[in-house]
Parts: sequence; structure tokens; C-alpha cells
Amino acid sequence: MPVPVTYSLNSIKARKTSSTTAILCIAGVVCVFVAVMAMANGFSKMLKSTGLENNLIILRKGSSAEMMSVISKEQFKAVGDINLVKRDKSGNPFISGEIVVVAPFFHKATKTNALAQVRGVQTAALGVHRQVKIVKGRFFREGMYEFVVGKNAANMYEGLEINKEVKLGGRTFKVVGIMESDGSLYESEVWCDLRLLQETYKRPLNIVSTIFLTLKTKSDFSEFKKAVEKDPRLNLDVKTEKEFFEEQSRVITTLIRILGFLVAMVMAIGAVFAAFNTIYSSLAARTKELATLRAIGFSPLSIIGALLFESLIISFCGGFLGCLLSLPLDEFSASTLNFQSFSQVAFTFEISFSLLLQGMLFAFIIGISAGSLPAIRSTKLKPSDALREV
Amino acid sequence: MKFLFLLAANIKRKKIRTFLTLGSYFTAFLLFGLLSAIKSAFNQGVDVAGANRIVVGNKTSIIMPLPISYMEKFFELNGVKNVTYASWFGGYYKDPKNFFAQMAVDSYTYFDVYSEFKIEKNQFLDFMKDRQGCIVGKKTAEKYGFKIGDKIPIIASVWGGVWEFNLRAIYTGTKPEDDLTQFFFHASYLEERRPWGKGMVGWYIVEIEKPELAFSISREIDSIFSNSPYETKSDTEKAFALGFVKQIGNIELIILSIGAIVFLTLLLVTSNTMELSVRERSAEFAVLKTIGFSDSLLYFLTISESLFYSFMGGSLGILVAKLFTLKGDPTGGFLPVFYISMNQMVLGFLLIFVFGFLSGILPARRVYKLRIVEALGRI
Repeated sequence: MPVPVTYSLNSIKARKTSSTTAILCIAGVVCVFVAVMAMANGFSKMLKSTGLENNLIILRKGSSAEMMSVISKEQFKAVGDINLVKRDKSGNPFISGEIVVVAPFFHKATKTNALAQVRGVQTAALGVHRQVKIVKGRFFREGMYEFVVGKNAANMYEGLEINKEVKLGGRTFKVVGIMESDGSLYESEVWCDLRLLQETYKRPLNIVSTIFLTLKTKSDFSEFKKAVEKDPRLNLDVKTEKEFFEEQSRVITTLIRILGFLVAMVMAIGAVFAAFNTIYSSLAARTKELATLRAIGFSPLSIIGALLFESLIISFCGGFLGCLLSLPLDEFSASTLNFQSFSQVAFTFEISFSLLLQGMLFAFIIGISAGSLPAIRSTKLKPSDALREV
Repeated sequence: MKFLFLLAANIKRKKIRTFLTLGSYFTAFLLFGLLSAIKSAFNQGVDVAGANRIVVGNKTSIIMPLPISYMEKFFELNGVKNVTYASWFGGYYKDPKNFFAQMAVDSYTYFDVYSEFKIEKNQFLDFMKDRQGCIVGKKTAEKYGFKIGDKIPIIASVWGGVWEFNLRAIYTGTKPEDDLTQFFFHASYLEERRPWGKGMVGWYIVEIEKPELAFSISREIDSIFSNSPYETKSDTEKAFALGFVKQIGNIELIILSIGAIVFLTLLLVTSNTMELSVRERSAEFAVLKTIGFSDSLLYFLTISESLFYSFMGGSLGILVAKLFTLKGDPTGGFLPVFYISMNQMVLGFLLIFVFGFLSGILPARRVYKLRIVEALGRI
């Protein structure tokens, strides 16, 4: 005969301190686990949406970041002439030469001047970066001191609001538009006219940092790469956008992964110890009670079942509480330093349903592994011995 | 002391429980050690920043240069002891993954201003004699197996091509938090070889006589160059470093919140375990009281038991964390330093004591108040 469910429920209620402790332990670990994973997921999603299918990025050979690359106007033209580049109806290639610099703006959260990535582009950029959309105001006009600001940059820095004026390098720029781009890197950037940015930063006008372009089809990549390598004028590195932005995030993702994982792992081990300890102690204190159950005829198996059920309920409560505690973090926007250019990038925590399920699973694993050993052990004692124990 | 055997007997009573309690303390303090190492890694720049150094950069953006001609103007200011400059080189060794900072510095002044970097005299003279010489920090030299006299090819991201340097000296630090990963070479060599940007430097470091002068001198510098084509932005080195740390994110807050969760849970768990173990032994305590053990002695014994657990488990945790950090940076070179400072160790042992004590208080009170008749009467 199975032990009634009410027995398990009542025994949780009867031992309020132990049960609460176990629940809180599990909740704490699940919460940290979900938070770390949500951070890593959010960051990688931000970079994934920055790289588009069949888009390529070209840098000078050996350059590891956009800001460090130098490409001449002749090279830019030669790349655009390659036949594999997608063209519009009038035959213009989808190609964008851009320069990337950083500029200090007042960062609201830390109340210091922080660097934002500033990208000088021409209108052609909108055709290549297809995910960029103006959600407020308009795009800048070429030749005008105007800024288009990414949604996250507008939130992060003071004064980057629409119609406000901002000083940069002795010149005054007016914010004329706010852009969105599926949560990508560009939402943390400020865009303005290529030529004016070159002037402001005293850069030669015949040089850009990076070329972005769109291919006719994705499968043309290796052929395009060969064409660039064959041309002696083009001392350039060709990468898909996806590949490039993954490389760019290496420092941050390594930091989050290794340090976050290290901390979460040690915490999980600690939680297993803690939950194990609590469940074990509470069972050990109940030796007599369990012996009584045996004495009145419940089988060892049904007692183990009841005890496991008890730890399952506890781990469910703990897991649920942990998930609940982590929920306010969903869509929480955080920003960190992009180690390649020392500028700020924003991303949002991503808590998905499957992540919550993983959190619950994690809780169950802790609960079961902590509950099973003491449960089995408690039934090994002979009822007659257990009842006589002082 | 004569009750030590009693303590030992209690600890050996339930081996699994003892093991689990030690394990809880162990993991909590292992985590404490790791978190403090992470914290010092991110704060490294702030910890080593000299209070008497001012960083002068281009106002528009730190990536823009300043003219070399500014150097003499700094020397004219009152309260300035020394001036040096540096430029970011931005290259890498073989693969972009090999991440260490390379800087072209004014070799005549740089190591006077950064006097915490120790270089053997002969090695430094060799460096000064070699146009293509370089000085590398001990950590980077060990990591890539560089030896004095080696040719080190650096791929120049900004300037293009491969630049070869001869390793002439290896510097060490004076404090554990000193950054021993950097790579320095002569600014004159950069000036000679780069195709553009001549006559410019990355930023200046102005050493001042007294830290109190930092604010007024920074203001003075910025006002001298205001409205020039190259305006400056001056800050103490500490403020400069702090700015960068803040940009990485609120690491302090993350670490504090994780730490708080862990330690509160630890307190709950250990105190609860002690409580249960004491409750289980109430008949025993009643017997001890009957044969003449005083209430306060038993109170003391219970607290000692709790302190024993915290001390054994906790110090083992800190020790393992320390050993782990001695192995070096777990991220393979992204963190300039990874160590647990002496202060943090002391704080850790203080916490061990506090938590051992706190976990013991409630159970000890229960023992203290235990009434013999009731305890022996209980089933």
C-alpha cells in the first residue's frame, strides 16, 4: 500500500524551517543559473542579429577590429566592381564604406563619460544593413551635421535625444533620428555622415575603415573571397558578418562563459551540499517516525517513494521560486564594454520558456540527488533498532 | 581542553552530516575566494593607479592623438615633476587571440614615471641601445616563452605589416596587482616606421609633486589647450581607470548580490543542521546536565562545534581558491591579474569566524535552556 500523499505534504508543513531552508537554497541557485544563462543568451542574440545572411565585411589584412582597419578609395572601388556583389536596378552595387571611431558621451547609469562607437556612413549603408530601421524622425542628410542614434545609445547617454544638439570635436551635431535594428550592435551606435566624421577626426578623406557588402547569393562567398585574394591591389581580409561579429565578442563571451560558469558551478555544488544536508538531517531526525511507518506495515519501497515525492515537492517549490525571482530580469537591458573598441554595447537579458524549463530541471536534479540517498538509507534500518535508538 | 574528546565524538557521530556541513562551508568560501579574485582582476587598473599621475588625452576621443610639442609645455607648469607619453600600437603576436597590450613609449622618461616596474640595469641599457628593442612583462614572457635576445614578430593591426622587435629586458612589478602583461618599445621606432601620424602621440602621463595638486593642474592643462585644434582632457590616473571599470558593468553589485545569496543560504543551512543535530541529541545533553555539566559549558561546547565546522570547511575553501588562482587566469589571458589579496584573505577568515559563531548561537541557546526532565521525557 502506498504512503498517502497527505503524509508527504504534512511532513513538509511540520518541518517548516528545514523545508524553507531547502526551498530557498534551490531557489537561489536556480535564480543565479537562469540569470547567467539569460545574460549569455542575450549577448549572443545581440551579435547574431548584427550579422546578416549573405552580408560580408572586409577589413585591411591583419586588422582585428573595424577601428584599426584602413582601406583606400581605390580598393573600395575595386571591391565594388567584383561581379558577385548584388546590384540594384540601376546597376549600383550594395556596398558601404564606413569609418568607425569612438567618442565620449555622458553615460547616465555610471555618471561618467563613456565611449560610444560612432559610425560614419553614406545613405547606401541602409541598403546593406537591411535590419536598420528609423523608428523616430528621419535619416541624416548628407553634408549636414546630423546624428542618427541607435535606440540603446539614446537610452544610455544623456542628451542623445531627438532634436537635441550634441558637441563633438568642436562641432555641433543635431540628433534627427532614432534607429532600431532587431537588438543588434548598431542600436548602441551613433551614425553620421562619413565625410563629416572624417573631417571631425582629422582623417584623410580617401580612406575608410571597413567595407560592408551584400552578395547575390550566400553560396558566392568562397568565390568572392578567391576573387579578392587574386587581385594584387586588394590586401584585404574577407569575412562573413556572422563570423566577424562572433570573433568580436570573443573577449566578452569568454569572460561571461568562464567566470559565470565557474561561479554557477561552484554555487550548484554548494546547493547540492546544502539541500542534501537539509534533507538528510531532516530525515535523520525522523528515523523513529519512519520506523513507525514500517512497523505499521508500509513497505520500504512505498516509504522511499513518499520521501522522494517530498523532495520533489520541495525542489519544485524551490525551482519555481527561483524562476519567479529571475523573471524581472527578462528584457532587463544591460551594457558592457566592447573590448575591441572600448566602447559601450547594450544587450538585453533573454529568459525563454526553455531556459525556465532548464532551471526547473536543474532544481529537480538537485532535489532528487539530495533526497534519494537519505531516503534509501533510512529504510535500511530495522524498525526494531530504530525505535530503540536514544 | 579536556572536553576535546567530547567535541571529537560529536563530530564523528554522523559522518555524513559532518561531511556535508564541511562541504557547505567549503563551497561557500571557495566561491568567496573566486569572487574576490574576479573583483581584483577588474579593479586592477584602479588599484595600481598612482595618485600623483595625471593622464592627458585628446578631448574629442581617446583614440585621437595629441601633438608631441605639448610635452615641453607641461614641463613649464608648477608642480610638475616629470612627463612621459605613450601610444597604443594595437598589434598581436601570431594570432589575434594572443591578447596583450603593446605600447610605444618615450623610453627616456616612461620608466621613471612608472617606477613600480623593475628592470635590471644592464637589460635596460641594452634596451636603450637597440632601436628595435622591447621590454616585456614577466607574465607575457612566461606565457609565450620569450627569452632575452628573442626576435618577436608583432602583426600591426593599425600600421600594417609585421614588425620585428628584439627582446632586451623583462620587467617585474613591486606589488601583486601590477600588470605584468604589457609590451613596451621605443616611440622613436614607431615614429620612424609609421607612414602617417608622425609628430603625434597617444596620450601624456604627467607626474606631479603632490597628489593634492591633481585637480588644479588638470584644470590648468585643459585650459591651456582649449580652443586649439587638439584640445585635451585631463584626469587623475585613478579616475581614468575607474571610468573604464565602470563601463564593463556593475561588477561590484553582481558580486555582492551573489555573495549575499550564498552566505545567507549558508547561514540558514548550517544553523538548521546544527539545530537538528542538537535536537536529535537532546536526551544526551540532558544526561550530561544530570551528571553535572553546567549550562554554559554545554553552550560553549555547541558553539565550538559550530566553529570547528566553519573553520575546517571555510579555510579549506579559501586555500583551494588560493591554489586555483596561483595557477593563473582561467580565461587564458583576458584578465591582467588573477589573485586573492591579503586583505581579502583576512576578510575571509573573519567571515569564517562570524558565520561559525552565528550558526552556533541558536542551537547553543536551545542546549543552554534545555530542561532535563522535559528532554528525557521526550520520545
